[in-house]
Amino acid sequence: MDTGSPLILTLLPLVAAAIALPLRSRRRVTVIIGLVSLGLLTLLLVLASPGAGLFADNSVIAFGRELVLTPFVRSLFLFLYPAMGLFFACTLFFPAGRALVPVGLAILSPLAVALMINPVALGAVFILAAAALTLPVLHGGHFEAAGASWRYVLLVALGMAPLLLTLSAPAGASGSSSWLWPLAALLIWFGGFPFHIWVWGLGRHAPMTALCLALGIGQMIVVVYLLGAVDAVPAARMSVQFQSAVRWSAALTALIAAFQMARAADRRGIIAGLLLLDTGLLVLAALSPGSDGLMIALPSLMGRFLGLMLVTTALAIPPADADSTRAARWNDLLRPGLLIYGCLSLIGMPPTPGFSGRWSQLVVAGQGASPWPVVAIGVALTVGLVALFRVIPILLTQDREGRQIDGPSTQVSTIFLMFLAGLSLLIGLLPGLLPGLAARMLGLS
Amino acid sequence: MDAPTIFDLLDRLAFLRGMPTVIILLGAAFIAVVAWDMRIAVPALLVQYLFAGLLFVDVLDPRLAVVYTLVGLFVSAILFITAWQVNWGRPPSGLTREEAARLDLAPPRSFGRLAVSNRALVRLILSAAALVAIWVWTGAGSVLQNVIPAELTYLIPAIAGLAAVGLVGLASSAEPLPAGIGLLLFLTGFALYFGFLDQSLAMTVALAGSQLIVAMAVAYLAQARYLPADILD
Repeated sequence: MDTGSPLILTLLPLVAAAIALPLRSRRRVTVIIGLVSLGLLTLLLVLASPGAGLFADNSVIAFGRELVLTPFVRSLFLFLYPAMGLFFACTLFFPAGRALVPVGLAILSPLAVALMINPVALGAVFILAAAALTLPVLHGGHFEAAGASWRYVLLVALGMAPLLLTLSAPAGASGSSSWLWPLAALLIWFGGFPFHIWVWGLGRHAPMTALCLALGIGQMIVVVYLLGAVDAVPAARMSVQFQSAVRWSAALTALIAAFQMARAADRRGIIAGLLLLDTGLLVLAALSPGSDGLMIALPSLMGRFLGLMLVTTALAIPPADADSTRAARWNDLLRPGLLIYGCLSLIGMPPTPGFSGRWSQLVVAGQGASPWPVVAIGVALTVGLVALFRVIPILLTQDREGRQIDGPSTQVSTIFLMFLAGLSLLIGLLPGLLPGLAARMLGLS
Repeated sequence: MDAPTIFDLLDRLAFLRGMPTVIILLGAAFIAVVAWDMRIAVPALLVQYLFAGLLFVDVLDPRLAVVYTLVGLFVSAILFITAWQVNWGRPPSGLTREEAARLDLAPPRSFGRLAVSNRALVRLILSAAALVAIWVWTGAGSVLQNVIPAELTYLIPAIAGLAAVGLVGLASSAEPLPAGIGLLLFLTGFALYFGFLDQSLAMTVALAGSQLIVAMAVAYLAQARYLPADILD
């Protein structure tokens, strides 16, 4: 067995998770362990640059399989580790499940292996392992969330079958229906119609912080892996049937999401609808092969992560009263703005972080022969927006989730909220930032 | 006396190889899906794994095929302990009417002394229909014949039957334990088919490992659904 940076990226998160797990009742300690580990991982990635010379090789042979840290994967994790750090820092100020940090660290290991392992097909099992590891935070002790979490794992496991058939040469190359397997794999793992049930269930019942982890950071790696995997069958992917099916799946998912939002009577119904809308439209990234698809998917997923972070933190702010501290009153003042801005970002309205990704999705959807999917998506976005404004009073007045923020941290939490809001606003006002970052990751600029 | 090797055991079980194994395997899979009492379903799953191991010998090197049998033993043990902890699939005792309603526990339908839920009836009918459809479909020839050699065509009903019954099982229940059994059956059928496409050690271990991951996820969520903190506290 060789040594190298891929092995460190695989083992260090597991070691950190193992240290954090027994200490999970002491939230601040686990967050600090998480932040230190992520800082260390980021530093190692910086040192793993091809010219730095710390590691002889960015590949390693483990148990007869090769793990390769490509420049793109390295760039992706140079974004993901700080993003995870931001997320962990958020849990320092706002309520979150005790297992969140250990689970967040633990899933980084199989997800990294999934992107680095050769042959690519083996990565599917590591994605399944990561999905199973997120269960403690997704279910969070709630009956309904356990059912939704089960549907998530069930569909991840089920999606492995068409994906492996796509990647196996004889089935991947068999005639006119060869587009069916990549299509099924994409729709199941992306959560596109008719396999959207897991997204709705999680959006409805899972804790918000768990959604940030699983559908924000985790899904970014899953999407990158899957888009890379279906690049193995370029002919099937460019077939008319595949392209039409993807467009219609996105349109139908968006319509279902808009319908659910229109009939939602509570806050979580709206958030689940927003998440389903965003997830459904992400399927459109599969229309473009290679780096073009990633140039659509990565900004969309970064926008989703920021949107979810805004909504999560806003919902965690406790209401202020006359006896509250000045910082608590500031937080309460920021809450409506963060919540509405986060929801608008999940719809993809300008000027929010979600806009650049949504725009590129609409552009690629409009390149098809039939205009109807684009019309349906436009209708869905309009209905979703109207539904959102209809329930804004409910969003703002219902009971907040979680516990009260600890007193001493409230001033720091205000600074954190302002930083998050400022960052999101900056990205929203400069819509070229996220596509530019994605282009740098892909080595296109 | 020396312990028998894998090859000795295969020689002793030679009379079962081929179509008899397929019939027993599909019968066990059918029982695993339709049985609503886990004291029957989990042993049926174990029987399915043991006979699937005999079929894997026809696809993979026997030393690799035995990996699936061993994993089947572990999976069955995990599910057996879980089923025991969740009272074999029966609801917790002493529930109030409100708690039962929130736990989605519909009152069973009575057929004389037998009480069956609507969901169990649906599973029974759909599983039987799936097996009949597979029998007719494979008799008429199927797309699987492109991959499976002519001398092993008896594997086609096993692969298609496990996949179909597994899909019925996973789609007809919202509960992790019965739906998980369906998923495990589906994955076994898929692994049997995929063995013709990729016979590498890494892929065999990966597919077997995925079954263990699913079993552990099922075990965790079955207990989470059985005693949910937010309802029964």
